[in-house]
Amino acid sequence: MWKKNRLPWLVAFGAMVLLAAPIRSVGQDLKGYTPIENTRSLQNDLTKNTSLIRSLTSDFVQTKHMSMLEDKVISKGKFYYKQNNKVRIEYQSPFQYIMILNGGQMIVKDENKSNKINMRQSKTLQSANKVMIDCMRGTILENTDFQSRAYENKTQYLLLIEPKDNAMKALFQKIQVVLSKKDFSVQRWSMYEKGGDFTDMDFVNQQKNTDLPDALFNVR
Amino acid sequence: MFVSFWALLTTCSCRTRPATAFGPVGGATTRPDIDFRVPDGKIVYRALADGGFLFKKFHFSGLVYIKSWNDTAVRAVFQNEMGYTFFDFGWDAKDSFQVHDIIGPMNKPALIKTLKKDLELLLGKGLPKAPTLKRKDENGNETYRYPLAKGVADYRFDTSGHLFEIQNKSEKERPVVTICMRPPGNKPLSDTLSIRHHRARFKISFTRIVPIDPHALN
Repeated sequence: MWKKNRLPWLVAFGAMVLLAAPIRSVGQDLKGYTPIENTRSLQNDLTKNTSLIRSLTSDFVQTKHMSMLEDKVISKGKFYYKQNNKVRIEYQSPFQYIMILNGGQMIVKDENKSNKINMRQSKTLQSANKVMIDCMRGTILENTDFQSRAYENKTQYLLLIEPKDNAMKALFQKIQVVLSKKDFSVQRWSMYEKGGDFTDMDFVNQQKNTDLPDALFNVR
Repeated sequence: MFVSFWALLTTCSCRTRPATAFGPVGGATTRPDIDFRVPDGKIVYRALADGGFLFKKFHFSGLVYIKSWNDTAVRAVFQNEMGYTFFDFGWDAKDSFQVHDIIGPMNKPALIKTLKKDLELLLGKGLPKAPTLKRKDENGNETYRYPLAKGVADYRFDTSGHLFEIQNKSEKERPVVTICMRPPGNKPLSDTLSIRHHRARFKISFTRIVPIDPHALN
């Protein structure tokens, strides 16, 4: 059973999904939001503002909500993004774990080892990668692999992304990304699993366009 | 100090030691003191797994979350660092096992059976209420043997009466799984665990982590 080791791909998938977050993310109920029928204007604003972000540094708090167990697992860390496709997610507490995505490569580092993954070898990962790129470019609402809808309230936009492909559907039910209307920054990202559990990632203390060394995103 | 350190290592090593033959357990007072309850009702481990098949090696990590209700029903959830659930197993008060959730690539009967057995050895699920045999090795460590549906489970105690190893063996006395716990104590769910699968050639290490208190965030 272990020879067909696909777990690294799942880890990579999680990373890809997270990548969508940097661009703009958060998960929430649709309560209090109203649908945006014509997303063209939002699409344009998204693209325009995203193109202005050369780099992003943020603290994050991740909360896994386990519905049946009525409990949460919380972790914290640092998130880094650098144009065009470099991401570093660094979990700092209560465990150490680093994930770096750079182009088509990904590396994960835990307490003991590094694991390098070529994302181009997995169709599912490529699809997830496309979500990420579309989020980076602000074109997520045009991605035909996913059904995307947009909602708004007074202060936020909420993007709801649902996979069309069965392989992706098997991995997650939907992703919700919450953006600030003020500056289109990602406030929260959420991934919903089939079983009802979901994981929120809240981004705080964001700093845009600071100088980030390329060494942060080294996948070698 | 060096000598005492060496003595500690040799007496509590997870290697099989020469031993006297198994004999019957003599009465209720000699039953080992094992507390199979989940410490504090829930425990979270950082898990790292390493192994290989032919020339291909693998390594992955995640979190193992174990929670009990009324010290009887138990759930064990393995998720990756990003919160994605790999499997969710449960046992009810009658030790009946159920797979609540498992991802496609792991949904293989042999793998589920392997993981279930590892966890049941630690949680005392499916074990007879008392061991049937015991023996003492040359270092004074005692082993209590529980018969399983297939093979046996040996629970090994040091001279202080602390559990330091669980070994699952085949009917032919060949080791299948060895679990070492540190520090030794009366709870199998100790602070660190090392689970070695001898046939499948992979090892999982568990290190207890202290979860972040949600109230501390506000």
